[in-house]
Amino acid sequence: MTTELALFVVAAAIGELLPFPKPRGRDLSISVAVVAASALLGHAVVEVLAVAAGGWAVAAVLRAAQGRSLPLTNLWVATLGALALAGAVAVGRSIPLPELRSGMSVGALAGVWAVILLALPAYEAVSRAGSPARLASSYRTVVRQSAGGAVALASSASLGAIAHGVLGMWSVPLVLFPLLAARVGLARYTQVRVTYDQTVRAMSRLPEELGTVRRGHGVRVGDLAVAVARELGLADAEVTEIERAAHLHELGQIRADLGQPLADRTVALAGASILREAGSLDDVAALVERHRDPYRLAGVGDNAAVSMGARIVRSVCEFDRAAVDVPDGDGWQAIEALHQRSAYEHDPRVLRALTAVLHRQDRLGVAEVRSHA
Amino acid sequence: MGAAGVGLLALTVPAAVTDSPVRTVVFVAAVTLAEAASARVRHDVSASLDNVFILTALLVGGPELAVASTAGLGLVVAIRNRQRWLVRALVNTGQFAISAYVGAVVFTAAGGVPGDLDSIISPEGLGQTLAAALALTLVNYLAVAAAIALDRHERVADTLTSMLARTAMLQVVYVGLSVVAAALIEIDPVALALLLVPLLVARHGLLGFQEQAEAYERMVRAFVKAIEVKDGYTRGHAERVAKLSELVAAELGRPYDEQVMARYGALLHDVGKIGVPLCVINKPGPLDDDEFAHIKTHPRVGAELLRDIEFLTEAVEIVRAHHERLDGAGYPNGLSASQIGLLTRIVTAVDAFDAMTSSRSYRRAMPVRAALDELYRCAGGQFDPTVVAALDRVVAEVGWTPTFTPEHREAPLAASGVGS
Repeated sequence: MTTELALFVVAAAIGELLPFPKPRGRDLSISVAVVAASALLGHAVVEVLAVAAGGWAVAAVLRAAQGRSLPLTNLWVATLGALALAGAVAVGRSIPLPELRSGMSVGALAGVWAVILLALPAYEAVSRAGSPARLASSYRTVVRQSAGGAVALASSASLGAIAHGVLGMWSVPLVLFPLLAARVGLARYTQVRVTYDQTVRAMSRLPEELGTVRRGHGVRVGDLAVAVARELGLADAEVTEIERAAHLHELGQIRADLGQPLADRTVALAGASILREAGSLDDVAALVERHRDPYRLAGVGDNAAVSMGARIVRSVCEFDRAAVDVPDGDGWQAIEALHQRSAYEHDPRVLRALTAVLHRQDRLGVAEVRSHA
Repeated sequence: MGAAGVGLLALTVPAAVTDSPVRTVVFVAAVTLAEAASARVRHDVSASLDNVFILTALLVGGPELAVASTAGLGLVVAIRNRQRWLVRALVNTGQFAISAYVGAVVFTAAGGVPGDLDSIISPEGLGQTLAAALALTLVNYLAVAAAIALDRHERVADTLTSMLARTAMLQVVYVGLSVVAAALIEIDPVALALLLVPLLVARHGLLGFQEQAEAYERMVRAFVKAIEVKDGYTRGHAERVAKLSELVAAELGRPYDEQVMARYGALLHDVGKIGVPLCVINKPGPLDDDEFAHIKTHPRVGAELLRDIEFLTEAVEIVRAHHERLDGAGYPNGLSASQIGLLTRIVTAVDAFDAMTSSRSYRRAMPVRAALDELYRCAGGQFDPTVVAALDRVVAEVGWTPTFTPEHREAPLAASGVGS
């Protein structure tokens, strides 16, 4: 029993060191499958916890030997997960359901699948949401993004537990093998996604080389637009799109020659046509194309062709342009200029969210002190 | 190879069918489906689970079943290839049948007992399976690597290294998978489905990777094209330099990854020109000091733009150093020969070659031969002689022609009296 437990700990440590990488958000630890197999085999709660915590500890020591560190959050996620898995197995076993040929309880298996697919993503969703309003949308995104890896983890855990009757403790390291295969595919996918994002960010600096756009404008607008989009409760997929559009909204400037700025609308159209060439950025192109259009039209009302994303990029871009010109980074004056054109050009909802974000980031502080004085 | 493989199949299939018809059908179907579900790991190498099922067949049913399980493979290959489908199907089937046979021979020689679960999951059994897997994979890889190396001018060893770097992890995994699969067949065949799930996830990831990698390259090309658009004379320059640089890297026997990096470095080598005024880029005649100082900034500006893209680290070096010279008189850093990498030397020479063989606002395109002679003349000081020689061979092989912008297409030839 002790040898087997040690084997579980080693397997959990390997899982902790070789997680499924994700393009954005937390990596998915493979150790979950080992812990789940331990729970399925009817180990006591203390033992299941020991596998989770011990795996983290061994992995952390190995990492430290390389001069790197393993996040402490991983330990909380692992122990919380272990408790949830042990609980789900206990509950599942008590439900009268038929058993598999190998004697494994179907209820216990169902409990493990439910925890891995649905309960574990909750932790990341909470830490990512920022506000309670965004919890549901953030949870849906995390569940969707982790689904592939989670299914692989749950089936490997089930497999290890089922094979244990015949393979004995050899089934423990063998749980890891299919997962390591899955990891090869997921890691390559993640690598190219990360490269894609880094390249979009790098390309945001292209127009800045021309001298018509201030240095860092693209990246600043990207960061602020993401915060505003989140504040407005937009879904994660949309936020990503808005971030890319914000990074690339001035791209059309590269059609201009040095020192001769183009009209804003021309820049928007030129940028969109370049992005359409890129093949995979059509949605971003649509956003960039419209980001100079009025959100309201006289005599018509709301301009439905201008999406919320386009409105956000528009206002954040102009805020950034104005804010740099103001002494002491006084955000109020820049915001005020936008408010004065809120009948047609700047959507008041975006301005409200932008103000709230700036307030939280302490970028309106200077003006407040002044107004009190 | 095809003939030997078909011979092996003719010997083993009847034996396997007599032994257990159902099992034979199941394994032939499994290997065939695995081949049909293969995913590419570089554009000319696929990873599939064929070997896992062949190995499992060996563990469960012995050498006959292992060899026989490859019988349906050729069908997939034949359907996938329009040209020379019969040859390809035979060669592929033969290749897998032979590697299965070699694996089986090694397994038996090492004392492995097919169908005996207890011995398979014992430490000695694992060793025997590992030996069989190694032998099987080695024959398999050598055959594939030899075919690809011939095609791409890579050294067989380099192709092997590159294939191993992409799939070594998978190979280790294969052994484990085969053992688990063999055990599961005894315990609960339904549980085999659970084993397939992580593998499908892996396949999904690899397919997604392929798709994203193509999308990525298209995006980079779109950006490069957008930068070139404002300057009609350099239009297509980056694409041409990218294509030639990749070919020259292949000609010099560089591994696949370096060929890809040469392509990206070449594609992006002039992005820094975004910061140079058009009138300077297109100025006829010599530049004054100020203008030249401006031009000289573009390698550094380009490298700065791209510095945060980890995947392109080596390409960024090419961008930064593509105007350096072997004699140390280049810019921006005046590097010496030992500090200039081979990929950079390739792009430097190809860049100059394409510039000379393209027309500009102020001059006509040079004939290919004259441009090559000019490169040879400057070899040693400015360019790497081995690179220039490789470029010469590549240009001869692909039949390179000078690039004319529309308004130059007719006039210059007539004016100089060279035309027909």
